[in-house]
Amino acid sequence: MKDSHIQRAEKKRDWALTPNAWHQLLTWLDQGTDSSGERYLEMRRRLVRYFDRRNCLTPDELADETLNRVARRLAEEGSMVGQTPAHNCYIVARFVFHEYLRRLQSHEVSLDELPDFRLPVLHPVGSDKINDEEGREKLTGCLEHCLHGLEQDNYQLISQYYRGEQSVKIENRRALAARLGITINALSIRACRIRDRLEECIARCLDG
Amino acid sequence: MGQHSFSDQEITQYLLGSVSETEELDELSVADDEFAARLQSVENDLVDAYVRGELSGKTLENFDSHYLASPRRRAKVLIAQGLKDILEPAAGGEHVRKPAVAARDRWDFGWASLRQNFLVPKLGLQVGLAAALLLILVAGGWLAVNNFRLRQQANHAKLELADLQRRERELLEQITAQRSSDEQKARELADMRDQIARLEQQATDVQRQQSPRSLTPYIVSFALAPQRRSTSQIPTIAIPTRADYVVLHLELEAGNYAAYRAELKQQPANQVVWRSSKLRASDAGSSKEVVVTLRPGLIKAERHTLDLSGVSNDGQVEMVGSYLFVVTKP
Repeated sequence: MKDSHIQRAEKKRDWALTPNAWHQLLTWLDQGTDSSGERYLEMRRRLVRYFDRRNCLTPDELADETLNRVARRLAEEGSMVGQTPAHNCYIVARFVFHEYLRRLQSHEVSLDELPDFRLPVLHPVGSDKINDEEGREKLTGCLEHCLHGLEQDNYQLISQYYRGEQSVKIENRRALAARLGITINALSIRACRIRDRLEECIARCLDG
Repeated sequence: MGQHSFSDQEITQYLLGSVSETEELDELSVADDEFAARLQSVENDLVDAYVRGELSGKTLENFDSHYLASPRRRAKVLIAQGLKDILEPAAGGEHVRKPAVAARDRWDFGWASLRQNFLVPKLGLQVGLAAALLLILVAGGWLAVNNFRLRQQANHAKLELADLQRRERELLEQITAQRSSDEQKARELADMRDQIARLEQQATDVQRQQSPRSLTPYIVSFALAPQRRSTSQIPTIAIPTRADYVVLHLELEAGNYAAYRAELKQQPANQVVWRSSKLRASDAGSSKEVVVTLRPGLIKAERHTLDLSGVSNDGQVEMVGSYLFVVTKP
């Protein structure tokens, strides 16, 4: 009994995402429509934000771990019945989060392994010199590069959607939605998607 | 699943970590397409409001303390600020920063700052220090005036005492010289002596009152051991209402680091409520300990975890212990 338990645990650790399992995961997330991987990317984004809101130190890794486990379970069982794919992903994410907490409390997560980040400077620690001007220029450059990389329609939409303050902003959005012939809700969703792509583009640009 | 009955205000509070029961919202944020989109929209608007200086009060406070605790979210704010500067330059093409944002002059827009924390706005610290200084000046002024008044009273009492003592001597001389057993004079002498005794007592009392009073802060201390697997009982610390400081003595099991850092988290949300500057270990009998001093206002009547990390000489950080405890308050 003990040996089979150990073997199962070792099998789980050794499991790797195969092309078939990857394709199966994408198809399962798409639920019949071909989103060209957009559904997977959207699910990954939601999971990263979920783990980030829970103040996890490695939200990207935990999101990938979650999707890996979902893919493994699909490969082993063929399907996951009951709730929607998104809900199943959430259930797995919750397990992953609680495991992460337990690992943290039992000191299995070494801070040395984590990405470099600084603690909030409520009480400043250290005195690293930062080149403000260089960083600001790089960020501005990446912002401009990514903005100009947007299609014209998307650029117009996002520049008008986020313009103005408070009531002026709300009025701008109403007028924009009316001009495009869509609801405020649909406009908001479109603007958020464009902004997400913008933020991802900026992150890639700064890393590159 | 939920019925999408959450208002934008409730979603904002969720993003700012002000909601205690987050299970339903967490589930919706992943599993419900419409809610996830709405959450993203509210978050973007919240961040934009922050960079425009439109947040205030508790919302601003929670944004600074909770939302900005994550490197990813801090990067989002930086990008939002840059986006605003590019999409809405002032007339004449120059970037203009609103006063609320400009006040946070310690933001670093450098590349490394995208992975670094923001500084707490200096304004809050300055206002707090100014208020504390004003309080000290007012208290000091009152003490000085009171001291002066008491000193005046003491001097007056001494002068009266000297007068009465002189008068006593004169009467004694008269009695001696006259060799009289005049009852009235004897009574007068007795009265004088009574008055002298009362004045001497008064002078003593005034001197006692002039002694500086010390305002001793009320400090409560507790010793905590790191959580072990076999530990089933979580220590409880009771914080009295009038406590000014809570001092926690964190027992070190092993390791000898140049410095330490502590992070206080409120459970079950694992929300970080406080982080320390560099701390040093000190001797505690046969072992070592790290001492953490907290304000009672930071600690709610909940379960908490105090995570202690060691910092080596070359700057490497490693978790050395986690201290679990439950707080009760009357």
